[in-house]
Amino acid sequence: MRRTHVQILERVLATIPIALGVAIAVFIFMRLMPGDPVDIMIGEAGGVTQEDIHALKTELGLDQSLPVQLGRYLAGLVRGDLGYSIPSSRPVAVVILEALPATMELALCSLLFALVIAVPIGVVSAVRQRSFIDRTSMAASFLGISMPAFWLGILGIIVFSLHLRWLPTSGRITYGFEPATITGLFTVDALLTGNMPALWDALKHLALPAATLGAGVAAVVARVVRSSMLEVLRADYVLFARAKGVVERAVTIRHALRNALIPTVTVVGLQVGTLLGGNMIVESIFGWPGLGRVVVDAIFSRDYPLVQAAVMVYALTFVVVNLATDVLYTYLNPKMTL
Amino acid sequence: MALETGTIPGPCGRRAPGRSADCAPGPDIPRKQGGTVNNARSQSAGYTAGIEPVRESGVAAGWAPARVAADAVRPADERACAVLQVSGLSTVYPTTRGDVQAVRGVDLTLGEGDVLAIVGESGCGKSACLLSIMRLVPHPGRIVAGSIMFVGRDLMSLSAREMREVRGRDIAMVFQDPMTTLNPAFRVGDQIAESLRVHGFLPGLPASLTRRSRVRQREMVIELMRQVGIPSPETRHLEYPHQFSGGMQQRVLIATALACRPKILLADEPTTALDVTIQAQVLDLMREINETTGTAIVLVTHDLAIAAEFCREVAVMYAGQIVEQGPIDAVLEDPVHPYTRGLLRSIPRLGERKPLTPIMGEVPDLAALGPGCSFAPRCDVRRPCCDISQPELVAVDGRRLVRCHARRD
Repeated sequence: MRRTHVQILERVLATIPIALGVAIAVFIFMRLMPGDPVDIMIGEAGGVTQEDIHALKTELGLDQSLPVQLGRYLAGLVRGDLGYSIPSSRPVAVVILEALPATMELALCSLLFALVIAVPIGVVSAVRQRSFIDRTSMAASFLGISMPAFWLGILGIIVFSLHLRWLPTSGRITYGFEPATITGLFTVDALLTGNMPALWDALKHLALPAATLGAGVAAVVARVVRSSMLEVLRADYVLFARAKGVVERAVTIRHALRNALIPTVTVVGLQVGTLLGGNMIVESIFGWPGLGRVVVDAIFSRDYPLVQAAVMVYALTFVVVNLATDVLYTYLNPKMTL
Repeated sequence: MALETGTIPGPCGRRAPGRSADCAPGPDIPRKQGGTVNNARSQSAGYTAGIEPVRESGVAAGWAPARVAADAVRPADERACAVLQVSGLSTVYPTTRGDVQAVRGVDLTLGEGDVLAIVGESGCGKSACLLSIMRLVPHPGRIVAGSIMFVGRDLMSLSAREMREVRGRDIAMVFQDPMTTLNPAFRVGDQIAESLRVHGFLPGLPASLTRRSRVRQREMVIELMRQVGIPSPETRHLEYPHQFSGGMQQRVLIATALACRPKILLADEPTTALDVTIQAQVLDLMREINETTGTAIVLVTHDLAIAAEFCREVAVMYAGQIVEQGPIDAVLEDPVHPYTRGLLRSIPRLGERKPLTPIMGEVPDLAALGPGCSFAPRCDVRRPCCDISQPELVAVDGRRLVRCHARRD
């Protein structure tokens, strides 16, 4: 096994204590919130007696002391048992696996959207510093950073869905268009099965939420690409490449951008957090059936097992994205090792 | 045949450069046509291994064994044909304080196989001068006047594309700090190969992906690395710049610069960032290259000792102008310009316990130059006329050029 592989394995093993810490922290924070799932449920139902409440709490194990509850929860985690969602009594793993593909599809598309827009803008702004393009795009990116997603999303719905009627207001796909499930990502499945109407429909549904979610990321990434390009373009090796007779475009892309991407990768890795954390709002606005919406609902109903599991998924995603960032970083920067 | 400027004959029948103002075309040593000079490329030998790159032209191209050309080491006076003739070169950098005049009317003539040193303090325009010759003055700087004749072609009149073809192939450049000049993200071998690829000595994409061309690239790169004295190039061409020492990095730079057998190598303080022992090795390598391939070298340095060691001719620059130019021995033993004298007085000498005499005052602000001699404020032989008018660069004792009102003739 190569050294890098060993290091990657070490990093994967290092996530175990992180996961444990996250599990305990979420468990405690959920319990600190006022009210418990039974209170919420009886608030919605009428004519419930103290005996019923007590029976329900016993059934859910909420009558036990907190350390015992924590111990049971952790024991379940080790066995791979995430428990049952309290209001719906469905297995938490199933609920999460249903919602996860939608969230991943949205996050990936937003990231793709952000990178496709931001990297060229950053490069052009740096190469033509202080030009009209530079000033315009940097002003736009300032707007992109400052504009909250809920406002941008609603603006998008008003313009593109209500007035222009180009795009649907909400949902993941028009009912009846769903492609056969392979990965759970509608666009990918549609591509794999060659189902073009489904692909088109899924893309139309994705456009607004992905743009809304990606705008903030694009704004940050464009600025980082621009500033690191400006720095790299002044480097001696860029001048040396020109002195070698390298074509200007190759100087910009091969020599400068390649090095400017090193700091960019770090920032993009961190922005994936925005894509996951920010998607609760965007998923709510666009009725996107993803994990963000599931978590918001679960928090309101104090659905302890579901919230705990969902936050765990978020945390592990962060760890995986960080690891991927570091691996990519070592690839881009030969001086670094993991 | 556009090279007929220049004034006084150099020490070995070569011409020393002169101001274009006083040098009308006149009867002079017969000179080769620009076109003939071009052929010199194919005559020059690989400097140790006796091979040289052949331009890619279809299938059968390869590195052909070249004749070890005897004429590559012929005496200087036989290869007197100017490969580079710079006249009246002026470069400015616009700033908020006004235009910084980095290079002011520089004239240089470089014969084939010549070695010229440009010396001066930091900020005197040495590097700007080299970058101007390459037409690589960084934005917003620009060349405002002058011509740069390279074997009969005025580089100033070339399109961006034509100029790009000259860079690296005909005129190559190495920089001061090898650590920052090599791209940290690419393998050393690929950086050397890039030089060959952009000028067609290796196929570009997608042909470069075939196994055959990868093998050929490997061979050429290893050969170049061996020629500049990098040990075990077979493994080291796959390493990254940070895995090389400073001296080895500078050798990589030189290999990259020389990959296409340029006629001129512009070396911008190539040894400044290196240890003294490594400096000597790099200079030896450059000397060897010059002697075996006939590549002319312009060495910019602030170190007079290096210039004395390495060059036959020296140009002393001050505030963007050449103030004294001539054969290195003459300039060092008997400096005429007060600035050159000052420079020499401020060099510590082994065994001498005399305190050093620095040049008083500071380099003038190049954005606010007065009408007079730019050295006048620091000069110990200043005359009243020095504040009023610029001295011209004129020939002194038949061997060199000096820009000073107070000179002895």
